[in-house]
Amino acid sequence: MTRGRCAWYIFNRMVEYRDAVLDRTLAALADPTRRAIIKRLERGPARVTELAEPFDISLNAVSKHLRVLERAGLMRRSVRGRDHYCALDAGPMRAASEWIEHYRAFWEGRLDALEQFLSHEGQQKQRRRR
Amino acid sequence: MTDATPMMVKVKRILPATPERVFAAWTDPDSFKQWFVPASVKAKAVEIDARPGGHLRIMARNDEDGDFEINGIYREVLPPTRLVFTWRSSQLRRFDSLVTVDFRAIGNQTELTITDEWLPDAEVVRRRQQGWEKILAAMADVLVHSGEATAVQVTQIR
Repeated sequence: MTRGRCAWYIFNRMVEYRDAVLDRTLAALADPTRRAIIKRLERGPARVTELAEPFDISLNAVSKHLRVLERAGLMRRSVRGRDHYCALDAGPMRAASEWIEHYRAFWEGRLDALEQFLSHEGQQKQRRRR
Repeated sequence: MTDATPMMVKVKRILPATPERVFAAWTDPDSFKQWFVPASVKAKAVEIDARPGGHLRIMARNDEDGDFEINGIYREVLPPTRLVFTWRSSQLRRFDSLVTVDFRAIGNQTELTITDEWLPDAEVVRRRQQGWEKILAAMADVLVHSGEATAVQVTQIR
C-alpha cells in the first residue's frame, strides 16, 4: 500500500478515533488560553493563582477555563493543605496528539501524490516536445 | 503558536514544477482529481470553483467506509502564491479547518507549505455571536429610548 493510499485510509478511519471523549478534548483545546494553561501544566502541577498569573483576565474567567479542562479529563485537582493544585492528565492529550498525527499523515500523503503527479506531468510535456 | 500547540498541522515540500503549474494542479478540477483522490477511493464527484466564495466539494466512496464528503469554500485565491479554503469532512462533524496553501518559487521549483488550522467550534462561534447580538439588541434599546439611533445593525461575526 502506498503512503498516499494509506493516508486516505487513515483519513476515513479517523472517525473511529472521534469518540465523545476526544470531541471534548479537542473542544477544550480549541481555546488559546486553555492551551496556554496546558502548556504551563506540562511543566508540573500548579496552584490556580499561579495559573492565572500570566493572563490578563479575572480569576473567575480562569476558573471557568479550568472547569472546561477538568470536564474534558485534561486536568485533575488535588488539595494539599490549604492549597488547591491543578495537574495535567496526559491520557486524553495523547489521544488528541495521535489524532493530529493522522492529520499530518493525510497531508504528507497528499504531497507525495502531488509530487508524483507533477513529475509525471513534466515527463509527458518533455516527450511531447521531442 | 508553537509546535506543541495541537491545533495546527503544517507540512512543507519542494516540488519539481513552477508555482504556476503547482497552483494549476490545485485549482484545475481534472488535475486536482488526479492526484488528490487516489485510486483506492472512488471519487463520485469533484467540484472545484477556485475563486473567493466558490465551493470545493469532493464526494467519494470506499468499500470499507462507505460514502463520505468533503466540503469547503475558497477564501483567498491568489495565483500563483496563495490558496486559502475552509474544509469540513462529513465524518468529522464538529471541526472546520482552514487550509492555507502557500507557493514559493525556488528557481524552477516550488516550495509548498500547507497549514491546516482548526477553526473554533462552530457551536462556540454561534454562542459567541448570540452573545453579541444580545448586547447589541440591548444597546439598540437604550439608544432608541434615548432617541439617539433608530437602527443598530447586527453583523455576522463570520
